[in-house]
Amino acid sequence: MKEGRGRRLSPASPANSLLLLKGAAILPHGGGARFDPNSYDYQLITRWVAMGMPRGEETDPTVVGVEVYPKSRLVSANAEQQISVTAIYSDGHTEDATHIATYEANDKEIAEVDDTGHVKFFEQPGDVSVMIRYQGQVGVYQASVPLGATVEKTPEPRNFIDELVFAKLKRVGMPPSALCDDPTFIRRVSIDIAGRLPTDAEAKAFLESTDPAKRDKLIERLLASTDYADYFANKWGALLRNKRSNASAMRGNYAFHGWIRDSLHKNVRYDEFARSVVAASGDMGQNPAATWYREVKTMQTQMEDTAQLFLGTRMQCAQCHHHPFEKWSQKDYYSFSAFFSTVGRKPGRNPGEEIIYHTRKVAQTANKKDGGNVLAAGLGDDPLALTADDDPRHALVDWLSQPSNKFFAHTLVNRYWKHFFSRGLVEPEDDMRETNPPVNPELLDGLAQHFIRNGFDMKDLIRTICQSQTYQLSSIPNEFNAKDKTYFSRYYPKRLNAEVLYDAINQMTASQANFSGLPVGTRAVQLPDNSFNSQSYFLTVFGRPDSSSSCECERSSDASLAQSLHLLNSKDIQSKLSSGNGRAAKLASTNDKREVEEKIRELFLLAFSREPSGSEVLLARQHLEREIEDDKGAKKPVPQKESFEDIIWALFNTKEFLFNH
Amino acid sequence: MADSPQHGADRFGCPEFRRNLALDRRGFVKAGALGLGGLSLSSLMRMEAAAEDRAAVSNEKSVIILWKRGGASQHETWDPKPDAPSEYRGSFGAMSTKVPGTQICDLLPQCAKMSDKFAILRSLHHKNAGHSAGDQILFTGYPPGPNPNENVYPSCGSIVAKQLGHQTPELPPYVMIPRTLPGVESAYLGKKYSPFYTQADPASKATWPQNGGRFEVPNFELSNGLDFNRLDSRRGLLDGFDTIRRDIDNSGNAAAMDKFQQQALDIVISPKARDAFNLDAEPMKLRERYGFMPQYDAPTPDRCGVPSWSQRILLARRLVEAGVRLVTVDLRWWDTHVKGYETMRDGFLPRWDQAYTALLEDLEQRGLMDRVMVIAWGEFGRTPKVNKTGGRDHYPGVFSAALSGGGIQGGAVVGSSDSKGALPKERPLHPQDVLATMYRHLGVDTKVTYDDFAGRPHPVLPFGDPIEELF
Repeated sequence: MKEGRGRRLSPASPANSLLLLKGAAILPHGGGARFDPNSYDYQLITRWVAMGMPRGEETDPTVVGVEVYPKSRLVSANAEQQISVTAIYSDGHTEDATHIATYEANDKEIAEVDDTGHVKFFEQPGDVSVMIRYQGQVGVYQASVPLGATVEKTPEPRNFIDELVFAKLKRVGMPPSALCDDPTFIRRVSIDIAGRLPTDAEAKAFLESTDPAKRDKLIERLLASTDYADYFANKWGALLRNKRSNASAMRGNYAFHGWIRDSLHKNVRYDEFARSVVAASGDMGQNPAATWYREVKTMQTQMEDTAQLFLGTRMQCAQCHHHPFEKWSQKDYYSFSAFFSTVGRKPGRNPGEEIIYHTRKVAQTANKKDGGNVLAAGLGDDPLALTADDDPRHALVDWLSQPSNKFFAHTLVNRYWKHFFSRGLVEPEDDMRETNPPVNPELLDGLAQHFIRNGFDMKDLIRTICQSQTYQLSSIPNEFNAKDKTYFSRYYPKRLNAEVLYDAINQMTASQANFSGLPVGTRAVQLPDNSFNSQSYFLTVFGRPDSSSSCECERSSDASLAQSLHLLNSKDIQSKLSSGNGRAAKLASTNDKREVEEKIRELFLLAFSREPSGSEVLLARQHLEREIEDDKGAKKPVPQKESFEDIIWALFNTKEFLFNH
Repeated sequence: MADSPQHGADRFGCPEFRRNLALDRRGFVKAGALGLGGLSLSSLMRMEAAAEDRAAVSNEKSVIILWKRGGASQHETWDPKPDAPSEYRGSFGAMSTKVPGTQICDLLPQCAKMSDKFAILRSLHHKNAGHSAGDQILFTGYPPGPNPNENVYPSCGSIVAKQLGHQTPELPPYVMIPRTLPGVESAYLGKKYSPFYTQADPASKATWPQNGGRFEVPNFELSNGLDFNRLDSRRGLLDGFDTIRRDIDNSGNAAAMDKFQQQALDIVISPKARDAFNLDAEPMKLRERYGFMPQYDAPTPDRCGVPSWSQRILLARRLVEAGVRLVTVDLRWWDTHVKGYETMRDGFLPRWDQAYTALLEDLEQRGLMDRVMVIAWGEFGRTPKVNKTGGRDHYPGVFSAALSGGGIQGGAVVGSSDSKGALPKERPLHPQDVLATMYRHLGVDTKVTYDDFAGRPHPVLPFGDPIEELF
């Protein structure tokens, strides 16, 4: 082996350059073979080495864009498609870049793409997009694999959501499921809006009502209830990182949680809500929203959280290099960070609390790439002319919430769409970018425009979603749409989240949660912060988030063995079931004079908001009436309380209970 | 349950018979004299799916991480410096071992006799002297995040669980004895890949048989008021009520839940999992070989004590033998800032010497050496110079580890430190090299990437190569 100069790169004998020998794994290479000696890449590098490794001139043309052909297509299952990519240079000339661009499909169950831009579709119907990257430029190819069935009739559209969803279903030939029945609806919407199961009385009244507007009225009732505020404050508290890092944080945690809850209950406009947080100033004790700054400490994380939370844009990559999937450069990163460059903090009145203020200076920061200073600028926008007296964060919120902003309203409506439908129109919900297009762009835009037009009204958005026939579709598939996971042709079930499930089991067993420092009976969805996770194995094991990121993905609804073991056989659950004040004890008590069948009905109404079927009543009755043999072989009845415990246990271990469906 | 028929059969039948018996839950139900209850078609099909999984049980590899939390001194374990000035050398001497030319601390006589069974690394190093930060580096291969107590990157055990799944369906793939530590969590892989914590602690005297105690993992034993008849009738009811169409969910979550429900029932009903965690089934003689040395209480509050963790190591062996892929054992707290020699002499070293050699002997006698790799290390080493209070402080500049099993040549010594035990001299090694060695043993592909919460892909390891000289 040659040593020293010329070893890695040998213009005299390019093929002996280590760069090529190792890259093609002719010599052992830790990173494996990166290209083949017959490949274009190998030839290109060989030519470059042979030319003496020219570094190019400042004035050489650079790639300023890529053009993808075709842009979008309707294709059939199992079809194939070659994508063609053209690179556009700064001097106007174009070159074919198909062979050298990189490709990635966003749903590998629908299609797969190879290094040459050749796409292979599978059986699965749905929408797929292929991201194309070349020299920091990105493009996208979108394809729909329709099912091609005839959509003869759809439910009568209630609002624009239905028109846009059903139009898409017709286009792709996927008939929607039927509308869901009343029990399914009351359980579904109570969980999704209020984070709780309906009581047996609520369920019974709803089922018996003949009012044609009863679903609308239920939605209104839930939105007006404090349960809505509790549930959505729980959601927002995690996203706004209301985290108890140490004991002295408690006052701030409670205040911030209370503030979020009040804002939601009063239905504060979303742009005002965002302003209160992002541009918060003052003592955390007096302005609870300033607590956000306690966990989100640095200029970078303030910017990254703002981008991810309010703009659905993940800027993290652009801190160190040009964002690989995005147009954002380091300049964009630092210009956007500059909005937080004047945030000052000093100790507040209480230990562990701080005062957040605007330091009097012009918002600017250094771009780590070249060390030059950049002024505050919205993403993709020109720098703003701010004076030292302007708190740049207000300018930031002005920029965020202007109606022409393409991300702010879109991100919120997408986040809420996902809350109700399990899947965002853009997925993940906080990763909105050109190369990750929405499954129904007209719908996303329609929702955003509706939201803006109605003054960023969050309750109105929820009302509009829940009133739609799309939301009220059954989750039971018809013969065409079992595999659907992008078109919303049926409701996609989701596991109850940790807090809702815990409360639901307490409701079923008529027991009360007892979190330390909070009144007995405080429900898990009402917990002010993450610190209670450590005292509740249940909440931890079912995936309650620790509020350590601005991503909803921190919440986990994955199943696990520890969860099943806990539901099956833990002292925690067993003591709820067998408590002397619990539901089983009450049902078995001689004070409850109702017929057995009435008691069974109560349990089914509680668990599923529906009446039990004949065979379910029979099974429960048999269980209650069965006899067991004692040690001497004599038959004796089983104590009623035990049997009711068994039935309640079985009900909350069913998928019908564990899922919102 | 200890003397129920299937338990006996599981003990004495031939391997094939044992497996079939374990597979055939209907057979079990009969054998256990329990009624079939409401065995629906769906539950039968679910059982069959579970049985298919079980057929895949194989002779796959496992790993035990003996976590010397606190950071053990290299001088007082595997890398003594008898020729260094006394302020570096410390109070202990060096001892020749069975392997010619290799010396270790003279307070490890049993290890010295067995030094041909394990290999020593003497040139490990990294750059972070915080406990939790070091934990993150060694468990994940990545630097710590802003709060070093929280995983930003998944632990090696979570990676193993994610990439390889479980080895034995009744058992979790990744177990932590007894509770959590910084670095062992699953981060962006999701809670599903968190370790299974035993919670119950074999170091607790109350669990020892000579004290009339039992070792019981929570939720494994039937809760108060439940018996097998009761559980079986509950299962019957559940089968009868759990009839919602499974095709409403195509996310795989409902199917996974069915599987875990079944697995949880297996754990409670079938002997396999409870057997794996049933430390009390180990013969007293073997338990004594690992040792019951009592907890060492720190004489003053500025020093660290030593829990009597020897039995935790035996539990780890039992678990890998049964088919857990990766077991991490918390052997705290080697943080010897003050009067370190005393703590080492009276606390750590005798316990370690006995329990570690017991493990090696035990693995060898059971023919598990090839299957099971044992990695004994902690988050860093200790300062080469003894401090004013007679201890050594945190020091990541160089530290040692002992590795054995999985094809590692006993007696190998890789890398060396300088004359004071201050810096790597030959063959500097990164913790990532040890992780790479471990991953290769298990069959984990370290080039695979997983996306974090921001969608950024991260490979299993950022760098690091298996240490070839060990094999």
